[in-house]
Amino acid sequence: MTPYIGSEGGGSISTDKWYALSLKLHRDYRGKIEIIPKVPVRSLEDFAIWYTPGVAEPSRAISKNPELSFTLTSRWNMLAVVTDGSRVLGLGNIGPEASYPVMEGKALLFKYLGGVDAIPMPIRARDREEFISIVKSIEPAFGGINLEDIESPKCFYILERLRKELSIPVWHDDQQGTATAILAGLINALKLVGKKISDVTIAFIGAGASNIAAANIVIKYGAKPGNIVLVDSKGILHSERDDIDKLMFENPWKYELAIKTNADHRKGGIREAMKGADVVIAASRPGPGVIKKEWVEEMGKDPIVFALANPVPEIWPWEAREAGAKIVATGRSDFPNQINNSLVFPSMFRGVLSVRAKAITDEMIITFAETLAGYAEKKGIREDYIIPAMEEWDAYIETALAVGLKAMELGINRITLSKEELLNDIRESILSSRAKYEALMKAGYIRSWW
Amino acid sequence: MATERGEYTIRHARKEDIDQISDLILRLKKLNEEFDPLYTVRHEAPEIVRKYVSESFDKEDVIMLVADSLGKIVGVIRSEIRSRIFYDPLISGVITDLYVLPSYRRKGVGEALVTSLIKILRSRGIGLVSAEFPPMNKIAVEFYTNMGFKPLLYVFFKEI
Repeated sequence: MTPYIGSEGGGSISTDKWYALSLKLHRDYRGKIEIIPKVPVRSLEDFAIWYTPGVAEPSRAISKNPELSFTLTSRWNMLAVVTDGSRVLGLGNIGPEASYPVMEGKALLFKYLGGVDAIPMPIRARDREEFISIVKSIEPAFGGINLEDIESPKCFYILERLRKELSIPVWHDDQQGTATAILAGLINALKLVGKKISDVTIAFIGAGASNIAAANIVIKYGAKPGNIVLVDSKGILHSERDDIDKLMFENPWKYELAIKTNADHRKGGIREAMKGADVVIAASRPGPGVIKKEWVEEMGKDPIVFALANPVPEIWPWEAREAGAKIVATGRSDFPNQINNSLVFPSMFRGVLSVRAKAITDEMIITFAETLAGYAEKKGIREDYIIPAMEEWDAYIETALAVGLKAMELGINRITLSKEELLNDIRESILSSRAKYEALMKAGYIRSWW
Repeated sequence: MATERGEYTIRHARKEDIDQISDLILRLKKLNEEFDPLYTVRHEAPEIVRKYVSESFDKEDVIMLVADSLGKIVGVIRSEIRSRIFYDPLISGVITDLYVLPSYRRKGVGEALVTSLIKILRSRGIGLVSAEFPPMNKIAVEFYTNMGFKPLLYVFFKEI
């Protein structure tokens, strides 16, 4: 799952071992996914049902009412994992072909964790309009679109347009998935330190896809925009920064935040942004040392530090704690409190696909985050447990249920299910996909070669 | 007129505003720099802008208005009266510079500046107003179009 093994130096030796093994196994298995039918074929005669001539009838029905494609075909559970390969992992603009292993890996996670049939779809699209037009034209084949690894600020524009123009859910995991996990962790962290979202000051270090989305969703959740400060590579964002007009044209999303945040007109860098802050959320560049211990010391009482850069957080968790941080979260699975979008995307789509939702709204994102936080709270939150770990299967089912119910409450569902029906559908989708997988492994069709 | 960040009034520019106005106009010139290398702002621009603003006070054919929010200049409009010699109407007020600070945008400051300028031009018997800006500035194109302006002149450039 994680592309590194935790160790103090960032684990470069162990990481190299993963690289070599991964390359070998990708070659041996010739990719990671395949398509398997789910209807019985008792004899070749059954093809008359699944294919011609019988299949003409569902086609006729859909031609009269295209919405029936969500009930008569596999469309409802099909998700396209679309990228242009312009910002893949930390590798940069490596192109659509090179992004395929990542999209295919995502598809594996979608199926295994969420029972979602995801298709890797790297596309050769030079500009954003071309990208949008391609995704719009494949809409009839899918119940949802997961955008992935698209460079900023292009990703904001593409998501905004597609969310408006498609009538299936469109999700950009690098923005919304991470933002949802951040919000879930933040909800519990604030409970532990006894602070309210409407009172806290938050410094966002880094103003890329995930932090821009996180700042917006945290504001929607109730943080005061004026209490938020964002820092990018040029320093603290404020409405009179020298490059502000340039931002208006080149990155209107960052521009919007520059204008509505930072009511005190703070200027400077990371240190100035963190001074007196209750929360710091860093998603900038790999550390350590991007955030210094002294800067954590200068934060407010019981500070919350999210240092999310991978593979090495902006500050090591123990350093942050030594400097007085009450709660520390990172992006790593080998430290407590992993802010991990894998806790989000499988069940987010499980929930919305099960009710054939037309969109994923910000309200649904907040519902999801509250449910994920609530799950951990029920188990008992502590400084080192603010968010569930990936092994906590029930969390996937609970969040998928909550988001499906929310979609129905908002009236953007295509089919209506009772709570029990929805829960059964979700549980069945997730558990049966794992059961089938395990059966194939047990029967020796999927074997472990290492 | 009320804004979220306090009241603002439109008034004629005064000499004590020179520093603040110069800052706004320099920002405007730097914004143009984004559009084309031929808009590269000269190194001496800060002094030139200051001179440009100061001298505007001495010229009868220049009108300069500001949006003043509790003593802070948050927007400026500068226009020159020009004669078109071949065409009727003969005289036009040309908006050479219009800039509003980002946090005061979308509150009608720009519109108020243009409307106030038009009122003054009319009172001087002038029936035509125009604005000069780079064609790539889509926000300006939209702003003036919404205010009823239309393109009437192309100026093409070529390096030789």
